[in-house]
Amino acid sequence: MPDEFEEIIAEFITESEESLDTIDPLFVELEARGEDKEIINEIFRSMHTIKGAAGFLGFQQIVDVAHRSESILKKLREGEIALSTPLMNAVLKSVDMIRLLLQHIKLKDGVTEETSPLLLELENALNNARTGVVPPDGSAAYREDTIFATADSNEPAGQPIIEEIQKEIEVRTYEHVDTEQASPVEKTVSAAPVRESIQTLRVDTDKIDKVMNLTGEVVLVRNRLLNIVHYLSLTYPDDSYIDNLYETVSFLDLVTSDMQLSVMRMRMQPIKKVFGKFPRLVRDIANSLGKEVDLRISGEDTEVDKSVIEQIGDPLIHIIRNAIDHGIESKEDRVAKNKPEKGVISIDAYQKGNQIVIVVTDDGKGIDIGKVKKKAFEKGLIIDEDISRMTDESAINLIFLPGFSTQDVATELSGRGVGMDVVKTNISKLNGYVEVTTKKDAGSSFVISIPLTLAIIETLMVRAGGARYAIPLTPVEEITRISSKDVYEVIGRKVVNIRERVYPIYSLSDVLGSRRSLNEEFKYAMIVSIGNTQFCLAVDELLGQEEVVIKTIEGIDTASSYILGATITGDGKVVLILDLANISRNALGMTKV
Amino acid sequence: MPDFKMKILVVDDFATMRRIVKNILKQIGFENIEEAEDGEQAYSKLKSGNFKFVVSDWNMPNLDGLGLLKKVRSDPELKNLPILMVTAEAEKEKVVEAIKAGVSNYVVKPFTAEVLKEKMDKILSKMGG
Repeated sequence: MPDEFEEIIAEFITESEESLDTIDPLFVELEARGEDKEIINEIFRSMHTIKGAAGFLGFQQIVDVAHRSESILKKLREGEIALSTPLMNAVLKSVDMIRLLLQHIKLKDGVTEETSPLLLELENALNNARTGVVPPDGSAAYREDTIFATADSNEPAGQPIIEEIQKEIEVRTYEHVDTEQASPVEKTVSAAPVRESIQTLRVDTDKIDKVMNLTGEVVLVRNRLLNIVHYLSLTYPDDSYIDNLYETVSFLDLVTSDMQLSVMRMRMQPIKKVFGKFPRLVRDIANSLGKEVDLRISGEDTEVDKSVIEQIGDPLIHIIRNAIDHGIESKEDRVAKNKPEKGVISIDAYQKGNQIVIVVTDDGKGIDIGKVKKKAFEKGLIIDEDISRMTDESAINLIFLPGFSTQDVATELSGRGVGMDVVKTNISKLNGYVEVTTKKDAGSSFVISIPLTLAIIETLMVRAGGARYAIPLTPVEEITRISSKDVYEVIGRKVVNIRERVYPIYSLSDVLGSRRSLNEEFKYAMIVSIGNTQFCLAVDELLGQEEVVIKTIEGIDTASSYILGATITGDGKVVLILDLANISRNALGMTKV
Repeated sequence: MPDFKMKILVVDDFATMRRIVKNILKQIGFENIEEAEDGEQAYSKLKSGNFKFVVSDWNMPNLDGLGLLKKVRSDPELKNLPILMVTAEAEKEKVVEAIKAGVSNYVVKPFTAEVLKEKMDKILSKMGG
């Protein structure tokens, strides 16, 4: 059964990784709280379990590494040795090594890792720790280890003991037979139903995605039905069958919405899965830079889509790295600024309407906007006149441009010039956006907003330049009626005054390159808010609100184009869904139009 | 020849291990296998289902293997149920403790189908005889 074996290995990798994920933050806790038997036991159990399964599957390297660190953990748990940095580091390295080995198994890349230095380090760490705590005669304990390692083969040293035990077991087994009175099993049938523990089922994500896609199709069909019924009831106002149909479709409408939500929930997981890695990460980075950083995490139970879990990790890690590397000052600098020696990075996640918001804040030195502008100019990312005209809020976004890096000397950790643009791209892939606020010597804050679901969105149907478009509703703050006489020019930019506030205004048909321009009459403007940027988008006609299923269009680079995808509307037409975040980003360049 | 239709409960908190053990049991010829994630869940299942054999892991959250063993042995309805304990290494103290608590036998990870079959045969033949 080669397939079965493959499946077991895949499950082993996933489960082991999950298990390592849960123990990762425990190390930091252990460091903060000192020896805590519960925590040590938890880490021990994870190592132990992985070792057990790896043994069956023949992953000897994992068995060896897990076994050695398990020995350390066991002695720690029993209080035979004391917790020390070399011990902790050795165990942490084992976790990393096991992850690496799992990765190789997963990728089937045939790459082998040299584990012997680590095994030696683990052994030395244990040996040294032992001499420090227990009497110098550590030989007994060590021999025990050797027995364990070879327990399954013909263990010469342990054999007599084990045989003795075997005999004892056999005697016991007889005793059971002796004391047997009636068949124990028949009685149990009548036993009252007993409470079951949490019922979970592992389902292949492909299967869930299939249901998700089908649900999307149902949503489209529902939309079409709603449309048809609407026209039917207008045409035959007194027909009782149409009334019935109307009622039935309304019910279908409700059920479909519930179904959609339920399927969405199936794909959601607490963001803890991602945040769990951060305590360790922050500790390692801060240590390597000689800084002290306190990580505060909140909202880790916020549930997000599985794809968000998979893709939000890297951008967040990058932001955190940057925050520790560039944001948080050295201890001396902080003291000189009258700030606490220990820097603080806080990560918070929460749901806001249909969005998941993740905020990463540091209390470091902030981003020097003057320097950002200068660098962007030197790198040819902006032109001279932009520098003076650009507001601080827009200038800060320059850090997201490809090829931008304020650090002259690239450090080992960050600032390789492929930093923030990758962050932005990754977040855009999730249809989200990121904004930054910064204050000198007070710190910076990165706010990431991601839609709750990636497949179904609430849109506004509009007409511009003779075509219909769907606009995601979330960033649209307000829709208002305007006329061209509300539009005037300020330093070469078209702006509109809405209730004493001035917004830059763009015509959607201009943005999309169709022929109509702002000079012509248009009627409606949407106030769009993307991060800190607010602007108005003028359209010719509003057609209504519709929940649509995003279908990706092959051949369109959604990362750079204004098009998020396409959808089929209630009346069966294919309509393009616009990407307001990309439009906003590029609206900077449209000032010259 | 054991009764291949007898209902067996595999107890382990690690799903991969449950699957591995289940596979080995199937390899031997057993067909009626159920799973439990820890001692607590195992005990509930044992109380409500007609199980004839238990293969349990040692290290588990909530109620561990030893805890389950003690609970089963002190339950008049279940006390004679054969329990085979799976352990990662032949730890003397642990095994002795399990024996005192009435374990039927134990098997060291990793084990083959032959080893498991041998252990099960031993337990079952003694029960039957």
